[in-house]
Amino acid sequence: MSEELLNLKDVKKYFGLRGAPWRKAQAVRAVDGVNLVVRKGETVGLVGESGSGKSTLARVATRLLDPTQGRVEIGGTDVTKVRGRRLRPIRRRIQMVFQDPQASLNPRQSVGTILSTPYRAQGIRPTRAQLVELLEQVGLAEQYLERYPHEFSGGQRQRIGIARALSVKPDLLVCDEPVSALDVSVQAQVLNLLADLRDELGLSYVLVAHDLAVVRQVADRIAVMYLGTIVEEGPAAEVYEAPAHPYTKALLSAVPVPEPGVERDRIVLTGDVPTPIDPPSGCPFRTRCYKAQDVCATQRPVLEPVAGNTEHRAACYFPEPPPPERT
Amino acid sequence: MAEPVLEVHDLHVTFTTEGGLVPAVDGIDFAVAPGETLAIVGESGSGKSVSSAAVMGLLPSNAEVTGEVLLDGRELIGLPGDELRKIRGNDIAMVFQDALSALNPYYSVGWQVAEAYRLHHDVSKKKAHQRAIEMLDKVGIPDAVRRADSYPHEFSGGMRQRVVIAMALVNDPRVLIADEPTTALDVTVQAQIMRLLDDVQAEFGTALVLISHDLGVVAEVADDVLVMYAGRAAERGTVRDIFFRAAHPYALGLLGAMPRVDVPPKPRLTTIPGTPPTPGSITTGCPFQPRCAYTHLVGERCITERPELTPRPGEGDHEAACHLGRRPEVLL
Repeated sequence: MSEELLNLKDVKKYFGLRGAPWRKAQAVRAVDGVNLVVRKGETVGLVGESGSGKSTLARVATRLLDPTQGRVEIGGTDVTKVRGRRLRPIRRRIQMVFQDPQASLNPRQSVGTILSTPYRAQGIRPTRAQLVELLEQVGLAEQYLERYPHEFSGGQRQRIGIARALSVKPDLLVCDEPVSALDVSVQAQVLNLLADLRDELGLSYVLVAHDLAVVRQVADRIAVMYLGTIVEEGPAAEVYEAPAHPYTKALLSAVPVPEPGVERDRIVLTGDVPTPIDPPSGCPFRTRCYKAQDVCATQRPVLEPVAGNTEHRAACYFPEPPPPERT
Repeated sequence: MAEPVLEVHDLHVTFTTEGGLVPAVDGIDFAVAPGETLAIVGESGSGKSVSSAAVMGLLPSNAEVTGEVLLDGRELIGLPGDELRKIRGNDIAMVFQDALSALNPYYSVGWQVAEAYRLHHDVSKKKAHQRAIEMLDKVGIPDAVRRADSYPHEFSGGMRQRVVIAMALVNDPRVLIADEPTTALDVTVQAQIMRLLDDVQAEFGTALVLISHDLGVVAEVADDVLVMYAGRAAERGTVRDIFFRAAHPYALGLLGAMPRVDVPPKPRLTTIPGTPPTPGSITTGCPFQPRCAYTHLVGERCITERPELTPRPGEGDHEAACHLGRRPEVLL
């Protein structure tokens, strides 16, 4: 099995809510006990609805946020307690691409300055040739080096964000909703670019997205989050073809398909995602689940192999049966 | 198709800005009949939202609107403000993308829905409040009697969008314009809202104009589709015409660029090179020409001559504005 680039062990991230002094302090359990391994060369899709904790998990993995509990291992070393300057060599291995390229690029810096910042953080002075090569890698021409972010379209800005992340030659890119702010035609360009870079540079990705079709296009493996926990994890093809967790099944069935007349067996969930301040007892999904029984309220189900397949796991007492063998 | 309730003919919207005149919408036509759904599809800057705002008379004063907007045969363009206010919210209502900014944080949701009703009906506050509760219940707000006294911040995104829909429907409008109504919502909630709109249409026979960039949603709910590009109609037809017989390279490109959740992924998505033009930057020829992969099959005409909508094979009024004149083969 190939090298582990990222290993999250029972990671929890709680945010304190400071209310009025006479009220009990509350915590938002954004990430509530997640285990996740990313190996060299693979693309892991992290999907879930808003408030599921997927972005927080991405930020903990890149050490932009400190976990409340648990371990973050990058390239086999425990980096949970590493802080400040000593994080820099670690950041060379793992970089992040953000959702909003408008907000994540400094409007007062030229593209050249933006791209050379990660080098300088590593104590390197990049040559112009290096910066041009970066631009070319993401499909932009040399002349853009002197321009400023406002002169670019959204798709081009996202390319600059990707080039900046690539500058220190990381092994793993964590992309938080990299295409959700882009138009459909431009989104496809960026998705193809990510795939090309993976093939050329042997990159691995963690792709955080709410758009399940986007994730299916690029991910090898997929982890579905709900209310701070992973409820199902497995090879993308299997999870999409035969989801085991009722939530995954409902989520996939809700995505409209761009083909008129295709009838989907839609499971319309009632209600909204409960608040992560006071999640339901037992299974976090039981309040909206169409299969919930008394046992679901007692103890939180753990990820268990689906039909004996250790690669595909779901946290449910009543997982969907696997599809009959195709003959 | 039944008699249309809303007809738009040769609509032009031009903004006067410091940088000169910007033609945001450059001559479009559409019509929608009771109980039918027309989807207007396009990317940012295609003029789809501006068109709907023009229909509602909601554009700022630096916008010049020409053409015809007929509601039951009555011209809306040029109507004085007080006349327009009688129609807006009563005969035509609108639902916006961002429900939070469409609601007033200072008033309870029940009050806001009741106000929308009282603006067009001479009834007591009590009666209007009852009507508001009835509507909130109809759009699926649980425990509507109690929740009517809650404020917008106490609702989730999906529930807020339901409130906005209740507000839009409280006067039984003939036409509902929904501008990206589910874009800000999660898919499970989006499914709830789309089902709600569908139920509402079936019950009240409302004509729906759905503005969306999500081809999945469009395929599911639309009867007719208008594909806009750079302020013009690139193609229009029934939903099956557009999805199965797309004749414009742009429409074809959009369909190829959509990843799908229900089938194994293609090795590569087809893409449209470049980015949509800024309005007004292309004055001659076909606005899509700089990004089009088929120009070489036609030649200079694409650069010099503006393509008009011409009939294409299909179920009804399938038309596309492309000099190629036949269905383009998919290039990879």
